[in-house]
Amino acid sequence: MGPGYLISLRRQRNLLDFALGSLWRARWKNGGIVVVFSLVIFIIASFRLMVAGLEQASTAVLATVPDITVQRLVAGRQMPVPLWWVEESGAVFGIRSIKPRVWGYYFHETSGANFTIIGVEDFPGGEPLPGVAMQAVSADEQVEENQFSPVVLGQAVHQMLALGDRVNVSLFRPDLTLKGFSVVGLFAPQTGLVTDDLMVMAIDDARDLFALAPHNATDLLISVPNPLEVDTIAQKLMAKLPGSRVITKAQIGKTYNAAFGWRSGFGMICLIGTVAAFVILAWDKAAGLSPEQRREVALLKTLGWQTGDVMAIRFMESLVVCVVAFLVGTGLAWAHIVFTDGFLFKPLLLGWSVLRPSLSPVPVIRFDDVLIIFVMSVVPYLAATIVPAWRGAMIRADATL
Amino acid sequence: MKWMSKPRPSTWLGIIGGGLMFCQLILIGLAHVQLAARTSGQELMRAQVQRLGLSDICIATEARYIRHLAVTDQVAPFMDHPLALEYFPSGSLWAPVISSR
Repeated sequence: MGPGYLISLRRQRNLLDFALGSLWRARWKNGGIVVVFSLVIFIIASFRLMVAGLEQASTAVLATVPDITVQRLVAGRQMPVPLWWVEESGAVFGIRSIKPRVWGYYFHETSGANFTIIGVEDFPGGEPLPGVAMQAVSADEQVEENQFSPVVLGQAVHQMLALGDRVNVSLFRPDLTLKGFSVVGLFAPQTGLVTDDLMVMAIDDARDLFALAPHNATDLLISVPNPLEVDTIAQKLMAKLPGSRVITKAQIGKTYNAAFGWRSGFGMICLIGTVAAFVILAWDKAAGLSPEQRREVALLKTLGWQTGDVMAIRFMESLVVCVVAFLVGTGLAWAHIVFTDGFLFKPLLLGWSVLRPSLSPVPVIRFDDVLIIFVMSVVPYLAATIVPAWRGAMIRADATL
Repeated sequence: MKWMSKPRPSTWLGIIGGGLMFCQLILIGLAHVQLAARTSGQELMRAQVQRLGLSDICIATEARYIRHLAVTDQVAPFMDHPLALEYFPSGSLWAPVISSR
């Protein structure tokens, strides 16, 4: 004997031992439930961890996006921005710099891949591109290089073009004439999350490639030193530039938060379907009491057990199944993300992309993610088994025996 | 007595549960080691985003509105209508940009 709480603890442990014995007696049935439940939790947890990894990476990487991006819309479609917008925008007080940029997509017919072409001012001179080791061009290539425009490629583009040691590549203009480029650098592989499909070149070369008029750009990048003024400046720009669409840094952040949110897409609906199917299975398994189980409950009641004790046993059984399945499922999910970069969900995320960026969505563990996984998996199971457990505990001993 | 030396079922549960938690902690630790190794890459990416004025991360390249979600035409995703059925597989995992504004 000892203090009250010690007696209570011993009692709970004895009940737990009894519940484990009961689980062990039906080990094939319960083992099956643990396996299926672990798989359900594995899928939910993998999806959540992968999305959390992408969300965290995008938040970390996109912290330096332009303060304001100005586009031009005509009939709901994005159209080139006239360069007089630069002078017009410059009249708005509080702007540090305005950079016109030309960018767009290039469909590479041989591979079927889409590349993102970005033409920037002060390239290849000016501020160096971070993470790019500019290659020195040999004397033999100098003559040839003069006819080719410099370009920096993302790693995936370089592989897709199968350039090997060659440095020259030609792309088609809209009129099917060829424009030559000389690869002067590759983006570092560890920056693939933002650069894998990029071809960065001088703004005039991009205009030439897309056959864009010299007085046009795709959009304007505006830098604002005071973050508190961004919204006001955005409103002034919208009023000043007819047909403009102004996107602020905060809106880009919001887009990515919503894009990766739980409410987005059909993926979540599929997962809810999986949980619902499992809850039905759990209900069915828990509701169908075998004659042995009924006799067991009746015997326990004859021996003096209360309905509450029988329910406590059933609750412990469910809890043990849940906790073991939760630990196995989430453990497998971590292994899936850490060792295989989420190979099960990756095809869905990349879809029919021909150019497949190297994606490695490892998240930092967060309490709210664990709580969401727990609430989405364990709570429905406990809820599904509690009513059958109560029904089972209400068996009358005299009627059963 | 012989049966007394045998561990109780709850002891086994503790051992198995503890083992599973230990394995999980090791995996979470490995994930954080991987993340720590990427810190320099993230610094570079932030610098590239700033230098080139990039607005989006490169995940799926199959549709232009998925590749550049933040700056795409508002009517381009979901086949020109926010409530139309999306046919690109990756589109099923992303919210339409129009809903975030």
